[in-house]
Amino acid sequence: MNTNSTLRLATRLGPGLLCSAGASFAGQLTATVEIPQLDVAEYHRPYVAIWIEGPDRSVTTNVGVWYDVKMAKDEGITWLKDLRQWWRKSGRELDLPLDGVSGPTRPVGVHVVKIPEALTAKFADGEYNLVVEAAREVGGRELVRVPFTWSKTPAIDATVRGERELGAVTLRQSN
Amino acid sequence: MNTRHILALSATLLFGANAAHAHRVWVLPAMTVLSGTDQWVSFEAAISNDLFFPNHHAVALTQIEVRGPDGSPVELQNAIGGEIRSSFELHLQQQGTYLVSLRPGMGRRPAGGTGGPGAGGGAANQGSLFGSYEANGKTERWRGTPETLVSEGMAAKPGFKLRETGGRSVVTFVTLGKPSKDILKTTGKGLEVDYVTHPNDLFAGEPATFRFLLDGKPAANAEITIVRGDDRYRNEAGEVILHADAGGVAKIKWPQTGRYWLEATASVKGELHGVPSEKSFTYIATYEVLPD
Repeated sequence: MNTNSTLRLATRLGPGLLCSAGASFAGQLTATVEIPQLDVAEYHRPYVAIWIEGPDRSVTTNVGVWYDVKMAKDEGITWLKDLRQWWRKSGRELDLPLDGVSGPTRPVGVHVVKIPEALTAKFADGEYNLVVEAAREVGGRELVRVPFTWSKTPAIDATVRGERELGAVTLRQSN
Repeated sequence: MNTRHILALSATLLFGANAAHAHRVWVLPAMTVLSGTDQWVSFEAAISNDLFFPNHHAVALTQIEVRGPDGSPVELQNAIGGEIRSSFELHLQQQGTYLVSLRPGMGRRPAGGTGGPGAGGGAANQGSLFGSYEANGKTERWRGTPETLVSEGMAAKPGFKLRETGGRSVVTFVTLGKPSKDILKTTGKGLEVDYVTHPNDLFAGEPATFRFLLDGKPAANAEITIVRGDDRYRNEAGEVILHADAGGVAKIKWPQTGRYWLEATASVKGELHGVPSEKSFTYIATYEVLPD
């Protein structure tokens, strides 16, 4: 079974099909973000931004931004512009570092990101995207959108795979 | 500054010679969107055949003017005036959008003007006069000043057509942090752009809306040419030509990501010493269009 193409097909068919019916409690959303192992001569951990876009594609909630938070003279911020969409949609408006959002870069592997209920409590019903953007020094850039439907009884279980800079990105409810 | 080249450029623009092979003037930032508090960005400025490869003539450093987000002058750093290109760096310490422009009129022959649009705008009215007339079944070209226009009795030449160069703006923008709009304010003189879409917020797949103004009024039907850089590696430059609508508004759809050169031209009809004339204005800008 080719998981990759199945998932891509699912994405193309739209968020409705990705949701399994039945859940009755909104619960907490949990995302996972996979940073893949890359066979490259010079590897730096990617900068990653994670956010939720509302139906109009504006940034509803910043979930995380992983960069070199500890570099002297805020030099880590120099490269945040390479997270191009996040930078223009949100980053440049923010006073960084942002509590609960800014964090250090992560190594290769699957990272679990819990999205506090406080962030989603205000959501109106509608179509949303979990967006993950990754940019790597002397490497590439990739943006993955995971569409989901938010309602009073959401049932979210979605996965979209990146092609290179990101592996699987998932979004689930953790009731 | 080599006056001859600038005049040659003006003539090319005016007489509509094959634009695909025109010498193009540009100031190119290495990048237009920066983040952080204390950043450097480098620039090159040249008049060249290929975008953006210096291969013809430098833009003189003395022509280059930079203003910061609050309008105050910003000094060029590590500036080098070369034979085929000038280069410099800017040290960005203020958040917002910076304007890099060529001082108008420099390298041009001062020539006065009709008193029409652009007049009274200081250097903006230092246009040159170009004319054409019929003699012995051939079209002869003429170039001069308001004085020689009279002294040489040009108005009496058969079929005499007079064209004046109004102001020419050459600009580019860089932004540190959040884009600001103060520096984009239009002055109401010459051909300008009211940036409905910020010039440092351009993305492939998102049409940009620019409103062209001539002396503060909509430059209806202004002709706009955009060319993506690296034409050196393409057999056809692939320039896109479009026109502003009656309100001066153009929606520009970028064919793809990259660095773009834009040239807009608009003209007004006027009169100089009793001779009907057409005065043309040019606006040239360099942009960076980023991936979605």
